[in-house]
Parts: sequence; structure tokens; C-alpha cells
Amino acid sequence: MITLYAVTWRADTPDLGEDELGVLADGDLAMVVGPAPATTSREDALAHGRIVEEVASAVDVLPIRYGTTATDTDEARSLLREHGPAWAARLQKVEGCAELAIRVAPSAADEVRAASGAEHLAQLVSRSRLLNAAESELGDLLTGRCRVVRRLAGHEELKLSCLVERAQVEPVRSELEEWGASRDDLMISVTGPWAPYSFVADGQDAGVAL
Amino acid sequence: MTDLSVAADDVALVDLLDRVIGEGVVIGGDIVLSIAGVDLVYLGLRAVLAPAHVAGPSAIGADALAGEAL
Amino acid sequence: MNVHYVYGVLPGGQHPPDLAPGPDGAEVQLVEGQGLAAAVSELPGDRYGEQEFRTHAEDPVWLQELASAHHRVLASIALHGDVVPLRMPTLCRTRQGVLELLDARGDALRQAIASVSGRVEWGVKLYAEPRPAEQQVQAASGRDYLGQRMAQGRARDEKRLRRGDAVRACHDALASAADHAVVNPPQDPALSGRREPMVLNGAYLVARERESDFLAVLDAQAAGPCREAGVVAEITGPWPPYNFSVTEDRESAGRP
Repeated sequence: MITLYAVTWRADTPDLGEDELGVLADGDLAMVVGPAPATTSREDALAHGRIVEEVASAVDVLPIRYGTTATDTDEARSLLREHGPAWAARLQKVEGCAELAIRVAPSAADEVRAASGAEHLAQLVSRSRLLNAAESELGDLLTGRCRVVRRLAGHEELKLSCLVERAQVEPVRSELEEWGASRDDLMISVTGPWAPYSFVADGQDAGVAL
Repeated sequence: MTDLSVAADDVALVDLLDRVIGEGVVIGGDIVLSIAGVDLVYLGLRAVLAPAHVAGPSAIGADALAGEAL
Repeated sequence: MNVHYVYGVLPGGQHPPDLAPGPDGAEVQLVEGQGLAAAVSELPGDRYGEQEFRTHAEDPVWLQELASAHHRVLASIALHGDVVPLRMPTLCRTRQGVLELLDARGDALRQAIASVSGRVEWGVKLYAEPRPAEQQVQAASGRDYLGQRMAQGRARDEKRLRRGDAVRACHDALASAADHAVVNPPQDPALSGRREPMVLNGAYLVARERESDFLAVLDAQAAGPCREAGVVAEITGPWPPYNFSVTEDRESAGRP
């Protein structure tokens, strides 16, 4: 069993530091693979992610979800053949881009113990309104600065992924942080640049294409 | 190691884990993993970041390997 | 012109002994009204009036001295019964103004007292022990160097995950032993007085009769999962319920 890390352009063939990783090619594309772990764990998932980031720091990639395996290199190559055209199209869409991970949360502590179910619900509604309003403001702020913004699932925090050209990563980060600093009622975190995990499928342009 | 780097990197770790496990290309029915406890490390932004604090650059990959320890 | 500085509000008819003195040794008195009592000091307006607060708004030394006094008065009341801290500063021009405050905010104040009655606040802060310095990588080749650095990165990630788990588990255990819990942003090292990074700044509202259970849970967490993950616990308290008083101005209840 082999584990699949990421899809890249064959022409880019990354120089991998790890002896255990390999690159399989088919047509215009290549896939970074390695031995499948015996068990899955958060620690292994992180290590997997670090490898994907190492590759992404050098070349354009489509990260493959942790835990994806193929029986052997033949099967992996046949996946490249089967999905080639779709993956090539996606790689073009994310060319030269990285992902920023944004989290926004209210800065006040959750209100102390709602006295009733109704009060508790009111607090949830109020938080949800605050975060939706934040999403809308950030959408405006990011228009023209990044290619796509996608909202990820989350209740207590607003989580956004944005696809940004590499040269715009630091300017966008600064603007987001300034926005956060200007708001007493909210706090923001911006991490990355990451490989474009959130933008690998059709339909993930549907957040806001800016 | 400053307070800033600890906090920012705690969030970066959760952001990476969320992506590696929850996003990325999905191929057929081969995957399956549900990794329990992913959110165990994370108490929320308010618990991690000081009010005037903003998360600084947390580039990983080659930068982390070549440069400062996280 | 003097000002009336209000530290906090307690149920009426109490006689807490040994009230600590206020700023500059000012006497603290109780002003009763509406079944409540406001703990108040009359202070010189040229030193503690509204204008003085504006002038010193950014002066950490001035603020810290006042906050210490604010706190010690409230702590001395909390030793003997319930008290709801008020935001620092709460100033009234006259004693009548204090009575009007008790009248206007009476319902919220009574609700606040009820919500913390019989409970005190404990603060638990967790700090991450500094990492030992990493070994310099000795590598024969670029590939080797990267391989070793990846391994070091993995070790850091694992340690961070374990630490995160220990922090979460400790907070959850303490929250279960308390009536309510709040996580606050980590304090600046200038305030915490410690150089290690703060990884949890928790406040817990604990019923007085559950205090020994709460402390036992903390001891167990500190000696076990926290210690194993390189996390050190520090407890402070009991405090008046700065983090748990439900009043309009809950946010800055004057915690020093």
C-alpha cells in the first residue's frame, strides 16, 4: 500500500528530501507518493501535511486528502490517467497561488451562563450575526485581492480559506490583520501560506469568485 | 520562543490538520479516515491569542525547515 | 469636590469585618439601598475625578496602584460573603448618586449577586516549559539535512499536540469541578511576570463547598497530564467573581 500526497506537473518534478518518497508520472502530471502508514493518527496526518507543504513550497500542487492510498504504483498511475484532465484543469486554476487560512472569533467571552434556553439561543443568534457580518466585510476587503474565498464549516468561529497569488500573500495578510486590530469586538488569525487544499474541486470556486 | 510564536503556531497547527484531514483531493471511496480528537488541541481563538495580538507569518515548509524553529 | 468611588455591590445588611483600605488609605463604607449595599470610598476629586482618569488612562503605574486598591477592597469583602465587582472606575458625584445607581441598576445587580452567590472565582494559568534547544543538524548532503529537519519538525508537532491535549483536558476537568468557566486571552509576559508562554488563562467559578474538590482536580492534572506534557500550572484566588458577574459593564470589572 502506498499513500498519495499530492498531484503536480510532471515537468516540475520536485526534488524530494525524503528517501522514502517517490514521484510517479503519467502524461503531463505526476504524483508524490510514499509508504502507507501502519496506523493513522493526528501526528501522522501532520507529518503528511508537512511533506505536502515542503513540496508546495517549490512547485504548484493539488494536495490529496490524508489517508488516500493506492494498492501499488500501477494503481496510482492509473488514477493519474483517469483523473488527468480534471486535475490538470484544477492545477491551472491554482497556478502560482497559495491558500491563507482565516479565523475570526468574537473577542468577548461567551456571555456568562444564559439564565434560560431563550437567552442562550439569543446569544447564539447574536454571535452568528456578528460572524456573518464579519464574513461580508472581509468579502469586500478581499475583492480584487484574492481569486476565491470559501467559507468552511464552523459555529463558534468564522473560518475562511482564500486563494491568493503568492505575491499577494503578505499584503493580504497585513490588511486582514489591520482589519482585526481595528475591531474591538472581533479577533482574527491568518495562517499560511498553505497549499491550496480548499480549492481542489469544481464547485469550490463557488464561495465567492472575486 | 516568544508568546507570539507559540500562539500563532498553535493555530497554524490546527489549520493545517483541518486541511489535511478535511480538504484536498478526494479519490473514490478509498479514504476513510476519521481521526478522532482533531479538535482536542484547540480551545478557540480567544484562548490562544492576546487581544492586540495578530497572528504573525507562519509559513512552514521550506522556510520552517531552513529557518527559525517553530 | 470629592467623588464617590464604588468598588462593588453586595447584598444589603451585611457587615463584612476588616474592610481593606482604598487608594491612599481611604476608608471604605457601605451605602445601603434597595436591599443592596454599595462599597464606596469618598476620594479627592483632584486626584481621582473623571478628569484624572482621562489623564491617566494610559499610565500603567497609576492604573496599577488603583487596581491594587480596588482589588484588595473587593477581596476583603469576598472573604466573608458575596460581592459583585463593578467596573473600574465607577464614580458618582454624590452619595445620592450612589443610591440612584443602586436603584437604576438594581435588577441587574440583584441578578448578578444571585448568579454568583456562594461561589468564588479561581484563576488557573498554564505555562509551557521552554523547549530544550534543538540539536544542530549534522548532515552529509542536502537530502539528509532536509530529512533530519523534517524529523525535528515532526517531533515539535507531536510535542505541541500533546501539550494542546493536556491544556484542553485540564480546562475541561476544572470546568467540570466548577459551576462555570471562562477562557481569557493569554496575558502579556509583562503582566504575568513569567517568561514562559502562557497556554491557558482560565477563570473558574467554584461553589465554596466544592473548593477542595476543585483544588484536588487541579493537583491531579498538574501532577499528571500537564507535567508529562511540559506544562506548569499556577493557581490564584479566591477572587471576587470578576469574570462571572452579569452586569451591563461585565467586561472590565477592574481585575488587577
